[in-house]
Amino acid sequence: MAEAKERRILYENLDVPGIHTLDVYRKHGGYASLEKVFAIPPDDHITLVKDSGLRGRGGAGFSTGMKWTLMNRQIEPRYLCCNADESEPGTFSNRYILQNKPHMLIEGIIACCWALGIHTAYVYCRGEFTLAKKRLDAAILEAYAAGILGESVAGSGFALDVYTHSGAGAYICGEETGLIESLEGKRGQPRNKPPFPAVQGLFMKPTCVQNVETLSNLPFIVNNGLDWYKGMGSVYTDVPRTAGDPVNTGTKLYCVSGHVEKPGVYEVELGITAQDLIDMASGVRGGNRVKAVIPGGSSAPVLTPYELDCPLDFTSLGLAKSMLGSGGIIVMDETVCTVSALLNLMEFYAHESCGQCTPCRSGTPWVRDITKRIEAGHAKPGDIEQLIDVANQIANVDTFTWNTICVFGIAVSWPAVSFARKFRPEFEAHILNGECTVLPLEEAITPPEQNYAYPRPQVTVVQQPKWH
Amino acid sequence: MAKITIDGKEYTVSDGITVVQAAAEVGITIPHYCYHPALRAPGNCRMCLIELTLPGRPGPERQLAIGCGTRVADGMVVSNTAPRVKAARAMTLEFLLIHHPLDCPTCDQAGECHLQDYTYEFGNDRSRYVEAKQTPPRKQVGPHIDLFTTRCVVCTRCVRFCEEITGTSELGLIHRGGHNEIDVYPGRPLDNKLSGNVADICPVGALVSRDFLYRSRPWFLKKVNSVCPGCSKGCNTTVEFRDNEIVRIKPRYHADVNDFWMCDDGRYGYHYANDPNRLKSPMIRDGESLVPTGWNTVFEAIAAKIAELGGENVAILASAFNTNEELRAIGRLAMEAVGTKHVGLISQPITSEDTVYPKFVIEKDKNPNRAGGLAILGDVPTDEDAWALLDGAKGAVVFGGIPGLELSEQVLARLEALACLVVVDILPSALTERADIVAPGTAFTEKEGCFTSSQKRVQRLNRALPPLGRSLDEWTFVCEVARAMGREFGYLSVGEITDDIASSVEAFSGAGDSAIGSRGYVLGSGEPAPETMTGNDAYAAKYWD
Repeated sequence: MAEAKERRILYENLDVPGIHTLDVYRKHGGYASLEKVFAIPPDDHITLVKDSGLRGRGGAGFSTGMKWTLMNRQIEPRYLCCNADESEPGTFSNRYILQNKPHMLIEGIIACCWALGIHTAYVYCRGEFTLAKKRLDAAILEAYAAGILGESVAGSGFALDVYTHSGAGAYICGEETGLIESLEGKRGQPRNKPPFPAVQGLFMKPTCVQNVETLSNLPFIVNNGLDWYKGMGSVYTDVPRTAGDPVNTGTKLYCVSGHVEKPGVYEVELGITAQDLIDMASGVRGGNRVKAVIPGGSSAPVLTPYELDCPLDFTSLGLAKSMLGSGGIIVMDETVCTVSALLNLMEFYAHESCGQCTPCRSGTPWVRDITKRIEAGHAKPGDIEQLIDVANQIANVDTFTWNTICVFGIAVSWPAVSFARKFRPEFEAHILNGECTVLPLEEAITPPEQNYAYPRPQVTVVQQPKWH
Repeated sequence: MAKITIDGKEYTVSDGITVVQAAAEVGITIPHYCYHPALRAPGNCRMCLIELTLPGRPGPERQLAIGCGTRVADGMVVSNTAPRVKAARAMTLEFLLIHHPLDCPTCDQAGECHLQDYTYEFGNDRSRYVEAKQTPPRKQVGPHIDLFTTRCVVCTRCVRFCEEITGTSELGLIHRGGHNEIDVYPGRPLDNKLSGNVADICPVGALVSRDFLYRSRPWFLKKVNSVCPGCSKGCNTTVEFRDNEIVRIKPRYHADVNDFWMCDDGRYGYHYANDPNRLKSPMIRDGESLVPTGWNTVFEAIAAKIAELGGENVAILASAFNTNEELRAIGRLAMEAVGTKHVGLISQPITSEDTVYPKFVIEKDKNPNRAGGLAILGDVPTDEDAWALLDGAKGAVVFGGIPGLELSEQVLARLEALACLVVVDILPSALTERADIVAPGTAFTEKEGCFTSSQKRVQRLNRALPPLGRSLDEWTFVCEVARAMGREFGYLSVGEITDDIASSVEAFSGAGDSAIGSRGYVLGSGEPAPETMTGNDAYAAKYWD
């Protein structure tokens, strides 16, 4: 087993002192894309991003170029909302970008706005980001002073204003339409789609909503070209059409947390396996064995030790009936009680549901309460089925449908159902023993032949990440 | 028109309407709570989920769509009965009911509650919920409205109503998630003039009208269609009554008049009709007091008095609360029987301005039929000028029926000076105190006939209750007085007077009895307003009335 290596692109020079200031950022090659980007006609720029295979890093993994082609570019004004409301538990990569390389984000915003002809961009910052917001604001002021933002971006004649806005600490404001509502000054409650923001978004105008990490990729695509970018990551063939796009190019900021020796953000090409990433984080604490890995922020279905060979990219995790989401990898070792872990997540979701639509408003606390009873040992046989059933009523894991307005329903349902199914023996032990029971690792996990997501459909790998 | 298929049958529906409305047009129920056609559709109750096959697509969409937020398109296929649709609705109901108190036995909404109806139709017969229920407190949100928060299904119809229709935004959501509650902002009660409507649009028993609270089960109520006498707008209403008492008034949908709404003044302004002090018997003054007597005595006495004073010395004052038909009879009495030129129209004086909300206007003229009076009686003096007619008169016949009419000292002095005052009214007042002869009339809930709104729309009132005690319809009273004076008008029913107006008053040509349908007749339009059953009319007929 070779020593795994990072491929730092976005996080390059992240720890250079003063990199958050314009001068130091420029000294390390910052804003180089401004020389090139205005020479590319907007339509070509959209095609470039589409061909690069860049997929949204916020969670859904939707092709960024495709999103841009769906923008209604006939209506003025159009807006860009940069989603910096990084609230997904286990995710902490955007914060470092805002804190240490805010200019990289501004550079990305310029690239995106040029492509779509947008002259106003908003950065919606998570309310808890204090230092990050301060540094971003300072960077924007620096950029204005240096002529990088304002009437004419870097002398190109292209006008662009960037504003920041702090949220008030609601998870749901990270959902793109919830973010838009919040930015408009209303309660942060997601809207029905369609109409999608690309048609009617902020102030009912066409709006592009992009995650910080997605935007930060853009300058590098412009600088280094298509082939360089497409050379990173993983690409497959034979992927069933339902599993979506087989292309996973570029790097991903994997936020590794939980019971590893060295938690933190690791920038690796898309497609490193879960086991390799854990090894990269120096393994599990105290030499313990892994019991569960949540691969994509707490909304993603949990993986068992049997599934650690799964490449962490959009396609493979989709085939594993999980998702890459925001790339927040949460590792739990064998001392963890999976019911308590689920209860922790469900407390979070019950607290964060916006409550506008019925299934989520009533269902999320209900799932939380059932989990709580199981955890406390007060449950009775049949409650696990009820837990799975209620969660599936909010959003059905098996048919991938949701009865809610936004995908928060899926975010609640997926962890609940996957925990209850994949660690069923442990859930049953809680009921049988009438108290919290942590089973030995081998007994706690549902046998692979009964695991609904195992084995994964095999697909052909065309390109693998080069992390060794 | 768009061709859509619902549950395997093809229908033609109006363009650009929502699937819920389209289904209503063809008589199919799509259950829903949060959707209301006059408000924007947030799609948050998830009750109207349907299976959708879009034109040009091989099969149904993977996701269920919301019927309230989906507009019909040519070739769309909707399934309202697919197993997963039924399952989704059962699921939604289960979620709605887990915190619901199930206090139907004490709930005002029981019997007209969508939660009850849809649970029977789509829901489960038992609950799997064993956790603690939430019990938020009952609140008084405004002068007319209480909120039983436990019953609330957070559909936010009321919030959107206060945002969009009144523009006052008193109601809002507080807290988050499972703790969501409707509430008012501190220090800002729900006291706009349209607040009663939130109790109407509340699909459950959460927002209740305090005026109606615990007064009757809705299934004991009889209903007739009527028109609000509160102002010249002519809002369409339903009068609901029980045991010879008016219990509540609710608005009735009319696209061109009042949409789904009515103001609180009209909604809660019916109590005078239930007043125990209502005049119930004709009376003749004997010295200091009025003594009940028989109708024939009264007719004879009035005829004799008019003959004694001379018809040309008698003023006849009709009221803007009289119906077109009553006014026609009064006009004929003045012209043909009494022979006087002193005819006037008294009313509530116009003192205020229109109350304007973004999507509703309460008109400043607080009389239901001023337009009808001026059209039927000719351009007669009104208000102050009408009272001034008494100066040269020896006697007067005054038609009141105007609740809370205030008379100036000058008018009272004029009344005192009359040799004979005949008053037709419904409540004891300054008028009846000075009257020599009192004839009890009818309140708007006892009238048959039509009002003409300020928009020149003739609309029909139906009789809810019979005239109280020994009261008589004003038109009957007038005909009998005329007969006592030797004139036969020959009217046997209200409809005949309506037709008579249509044939003899130029402005009303075409507005005969059969031409005035449920949507009224706009004078000068030349044709009856069409009885439409599309879009909102179909919706209102299905879910609202």
